[in-house]
Amino acid sequence: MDGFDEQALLERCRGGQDDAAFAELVDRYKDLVYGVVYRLSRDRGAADDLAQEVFLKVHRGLPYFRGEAKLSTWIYRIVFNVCSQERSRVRPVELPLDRGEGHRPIDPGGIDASFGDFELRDRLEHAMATLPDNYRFLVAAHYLQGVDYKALAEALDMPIGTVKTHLHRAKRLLRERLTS
Amino acid sequence: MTCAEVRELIEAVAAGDEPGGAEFEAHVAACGGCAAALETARRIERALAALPAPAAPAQFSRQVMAAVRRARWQHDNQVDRVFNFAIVLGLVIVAVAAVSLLNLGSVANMMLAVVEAMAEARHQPAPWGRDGSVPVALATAMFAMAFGVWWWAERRSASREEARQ
Repeated sequence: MDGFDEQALLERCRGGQDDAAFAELVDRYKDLVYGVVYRLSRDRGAADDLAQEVFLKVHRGLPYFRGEAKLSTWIYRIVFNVCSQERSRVRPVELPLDRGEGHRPIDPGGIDASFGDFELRDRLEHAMATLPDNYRFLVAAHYLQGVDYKALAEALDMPIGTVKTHLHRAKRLLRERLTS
Repeated sequence: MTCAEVRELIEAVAAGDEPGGAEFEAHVAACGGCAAALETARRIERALAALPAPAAPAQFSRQVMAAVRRARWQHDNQVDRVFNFAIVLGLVIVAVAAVSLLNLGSVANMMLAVVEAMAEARHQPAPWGRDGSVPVALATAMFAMAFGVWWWAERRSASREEARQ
């Protein structure tokens, strides 16, 4: 979305009574919000509720949003806060990374082509589910929704270098968990 | 470079955030473990980029808008309740004041005495008699005004509900 359109949409939304404008905003950002929230909750029902809560907070906060950051950046921040609050309320179910009895651990060095394989993709998703919240948010936002380092840094209020470092650590954890 | 130093850089190099450098390349070329780790990191990088992003359900926008309308309705109801409470409180205060004027008379007499004293000082007749009819009329007007405001607020709230439906 270019700046002008975003500004115009914001102005229409800020009145509070233009439901069509807010519906347009929801349509524009729903996949972005839902994609990240789903990765953080790993449950369709919980993702529906959390994504809805994110948009309710966006609706309540719009009159006070001063436009100093991009709208999407502000929305990422709300996503992260909503998910963090939820995670502090409900402890996640830890998902095992091994494939069960009779299966040897996967050796990523020996299965070059199988990263496209459903089973390995599933294991990667399970490994992601065991990452700490902030790492999972970064991985989900950066890789699944294409949020760049700069936008992530603004959303989380941290330097770009720190965002990169956290992402590298997250991926190192994934590597260690997939190869252990 | 040691294996530990190389492994600190592996994810950054695999993501293309760091160039690695000659020492890094030399170590990876000579160390099978680090080479495998780098290859794995690159595969994870590709796999993450290829993971499908779950899309919001088809009815999601409609559900959000329904939730927004519900939240707004609850907020408006809350505001209406506070407003109605304020109006009722105002009416009670006005009623208590009117009863004081009608039954006790002392408050009205005190006010009248003050006005008469001021009028006498200016050698003018008092603007009303000593029967207290003007203060009672004022209290009645305040009653009417409070009811008017209440009626207006209720009418506005009802028309807003109609517009929403």
